[in-house]
Amino acid sequence: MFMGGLISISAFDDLWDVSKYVYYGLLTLLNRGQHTYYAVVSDGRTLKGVSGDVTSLMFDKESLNMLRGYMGIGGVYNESEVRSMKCLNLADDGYEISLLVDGFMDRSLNEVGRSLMRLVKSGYNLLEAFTESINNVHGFYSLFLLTNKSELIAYRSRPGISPLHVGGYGFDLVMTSSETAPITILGGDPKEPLNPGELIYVSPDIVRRVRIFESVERYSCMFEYVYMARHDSTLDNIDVYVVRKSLGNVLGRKFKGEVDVIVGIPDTSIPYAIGFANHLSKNIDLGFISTGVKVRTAIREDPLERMIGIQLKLNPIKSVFSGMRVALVDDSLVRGLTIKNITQVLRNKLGVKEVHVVIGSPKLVTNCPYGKVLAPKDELLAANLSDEDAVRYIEADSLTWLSVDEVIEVFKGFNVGLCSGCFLQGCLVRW
Amino acid sequence: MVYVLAVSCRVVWLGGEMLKVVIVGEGAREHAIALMISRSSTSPKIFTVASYVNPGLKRVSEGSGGKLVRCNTLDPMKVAEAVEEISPDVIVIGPEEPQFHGVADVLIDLGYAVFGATSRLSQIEKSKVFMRELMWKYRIPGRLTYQAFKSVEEAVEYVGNAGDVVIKPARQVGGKGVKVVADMQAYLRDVKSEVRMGYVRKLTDDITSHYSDIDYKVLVEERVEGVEYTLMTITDGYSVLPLPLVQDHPHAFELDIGPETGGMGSIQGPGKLLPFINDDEFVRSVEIVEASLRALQEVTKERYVGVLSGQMMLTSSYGPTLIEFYSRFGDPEVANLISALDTDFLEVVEAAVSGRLAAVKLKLRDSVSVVKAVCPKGYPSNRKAAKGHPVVVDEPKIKSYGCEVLYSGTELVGGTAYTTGSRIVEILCDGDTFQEVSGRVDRCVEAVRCGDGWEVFHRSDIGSEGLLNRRLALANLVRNTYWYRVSRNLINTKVDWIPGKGVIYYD
Repeated sequence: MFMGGLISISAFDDLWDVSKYVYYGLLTLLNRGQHTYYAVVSDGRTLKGVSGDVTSLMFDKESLNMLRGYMGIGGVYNESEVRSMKCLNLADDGYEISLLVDGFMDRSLNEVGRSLMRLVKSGYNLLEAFTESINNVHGFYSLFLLTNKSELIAYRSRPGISPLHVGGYGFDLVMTSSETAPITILGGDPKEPLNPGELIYVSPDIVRRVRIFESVERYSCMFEYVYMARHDSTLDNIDVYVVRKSLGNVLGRKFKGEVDVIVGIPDTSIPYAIGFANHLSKNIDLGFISTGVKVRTAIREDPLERMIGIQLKLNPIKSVFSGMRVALVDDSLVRGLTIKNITQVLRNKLGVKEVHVVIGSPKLVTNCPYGKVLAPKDELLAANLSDEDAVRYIEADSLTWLSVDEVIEVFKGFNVGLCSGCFLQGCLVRW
Repeated sequence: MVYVLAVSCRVVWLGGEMLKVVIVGEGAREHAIALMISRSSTSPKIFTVASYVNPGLKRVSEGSGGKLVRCNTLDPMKVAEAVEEISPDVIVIGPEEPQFHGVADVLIDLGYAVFGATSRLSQIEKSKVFMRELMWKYRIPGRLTYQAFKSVEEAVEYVGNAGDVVIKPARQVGGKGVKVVADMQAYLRDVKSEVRMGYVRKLTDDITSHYSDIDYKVLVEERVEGVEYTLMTITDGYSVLPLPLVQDHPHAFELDIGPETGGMGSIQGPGKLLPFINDDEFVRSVEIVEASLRALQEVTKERYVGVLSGQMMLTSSYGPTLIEFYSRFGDPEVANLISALDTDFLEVVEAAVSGRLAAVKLKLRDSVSVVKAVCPKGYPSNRKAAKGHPVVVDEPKIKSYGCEVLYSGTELVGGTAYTTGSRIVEILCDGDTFQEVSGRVDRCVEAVRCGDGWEVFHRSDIGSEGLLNRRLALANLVRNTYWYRVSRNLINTKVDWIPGKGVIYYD
């Protein structure tokens, strides 16, 4: 799954240096991007930026030390995303802007940036220029703009596929972030999510929320809740952990098999497994221990990298599985590589009696119109294998998915409208 | 207790002759006071002594048969001169700075009946060190621990290592200058240490260049969290008359974001409480103000006639906690009183100056009220940019919504109103529910603009359901923690343990 993570921090006076906030902000977003990071900071005179490999960020606390300023933005991305431009810096006659985008624009970032610069130079104020420049640009989720004149815009696009949250710290800082956990980890209070089509404009003189486009339709990406976000975040005021447990609960209701042990595949699937086990009034067991730095396997593009990630993350505990009938709970199933790898080990090495695979989301049958789920259709297990072949391929005893209706029902309970482009044939969401 | 009493009271109600009232001050606070006094059944003549011409105050004064007199309100002799020409029956001193400068002292010496603290009594607002010392000396509940500094370098060194604290100017500087630095994340500690040290330097530079009456420069207090509310009281020095609670909103921008302002708006009601403060907390807040007043009169040997307001916070550490005292009405909080009080305000003032306040029974309306300030872009951080823009207010439109407009930082120069760089106007509205009233105020805000197109802003979220729910949730959280602490006897004592060294009890 492919979406980045954005964070902005703005102070109202130059006593603050926010570069360390940007640094820790990026670390809090590693669930959303593990390949490349960008960070740009403004001191009111000039913009300074750095970018690099996320891994180096993890090991080097000094990564952003050359930046200093009281307004900053940062983003983390995965490999496939940075093939299109995510960060653009432009300067023209003393005016500098930096754009950071999450998602895939149907126009180049360069084009948007140059239009913006041209409009500002011809006398538009920044808000007008911003609105004009993105008026017919679609497909992206969020866009940040920082200038060397201490102005920041954080915009959430229509129809609100990914969230963008506003937070505050005392009288001193305004933060925005793709989810709420980064805000709380940086000591701030999450306030409210921006609406689709809404932006927040921040300068030392004024802060304004502006609805630049009315968005009647509002659709959230299911994968934000199912996989992307941290368990400790809320998205659009919905508690991610509670959603995941509820999906697990529905799975428990649906599951017809008999099992001795329930194991969630770390880390995302743990709340699903808890919800599943709660419904069946059975205990959940710890099944796997990971090695080294946590890797989000589904967001790795290279198959070998993904396999290395899976194997290092999932070393099974023998006594949990030997001779047992096991329900393995996972949040989603794209290619089935993780599950197949696990079932083989459980059978061949640990002598598991039965492996029932339960998935907390519907079958992915087509590719995502927004580019959030990268795998092309011919790489999606559910789009290419019959139910029977799918069970045989992953070498399980059964495979249970949630149906589209069941998932929509759960999300309705939380008052969330879903974009269902990837699990229904054809895209239901229009911009 | 021994008080130096005002020598002679000139308040004499002569049959048929109109009472003359002088109001000293020029902001929305004084506009609100003037409106309340103008509605008295005795139809008094109102004279305003003001350092600039506030169009609202001018109109109320002239409408009552009085007038607005321009004069430097920080110069007691100049004020006395202006007052002597009017020869009023009673004088109300609105803002704190004239009080600090001894305007009340001079007028009392001249034999006037003055509603407003003297310079010594107003120290409770002016000097935050004096206030904290007083609270500790008399062991008044709801007191915060603090450190005060005369030396800038000592203060800088202290805050460099102080952690979770609030830095304040030791002197009241127009309700500004407070830096709250929550410092709970070890990974961000050094950033905040730099901010605190930089701030102390900046603050002391600022205040020493503006004020000559400085002894202590910086106050560093323990940081507490909770729900803030203002308890305004009126006193005659013998008894304290608590007014309905009001909650101000100090953050400049929506969602409680942005720098501290003088107040972007306030909510009040229903009745004397707020939805998130209960009766027990109200009573204990009043006790804090009463105890502080007794202590203040004891150390100054003076009688306090006027307003004493407690800026309170319900905290998990102490329950109702005193953040700051004001020796005057809060602004915008006083505007809510226009709606809340169903009592002749001038009679209350008169009862206070003549020492008969104990006999006054306040009548309150059942409604709730919301006040919102409309500000020029640039306020509060860049007042230079915010100043000097022509102000246009469509008053009939505001009236048509049943709302009241109070002029604040608006100055009349040659017939045109201009921004002074502060809040432009405050709009007051009342009704049955906060949400409805808040919405009505928002519609009135559209009637306020700058004639040159300069941007204005206000907070639409004040009085909204979302914000009220946040306050309720926060109040419940701190209340529960507070009562846990009470149950474990952890309010005035603390148990600490240094591994390897042993257990320490702080009492």
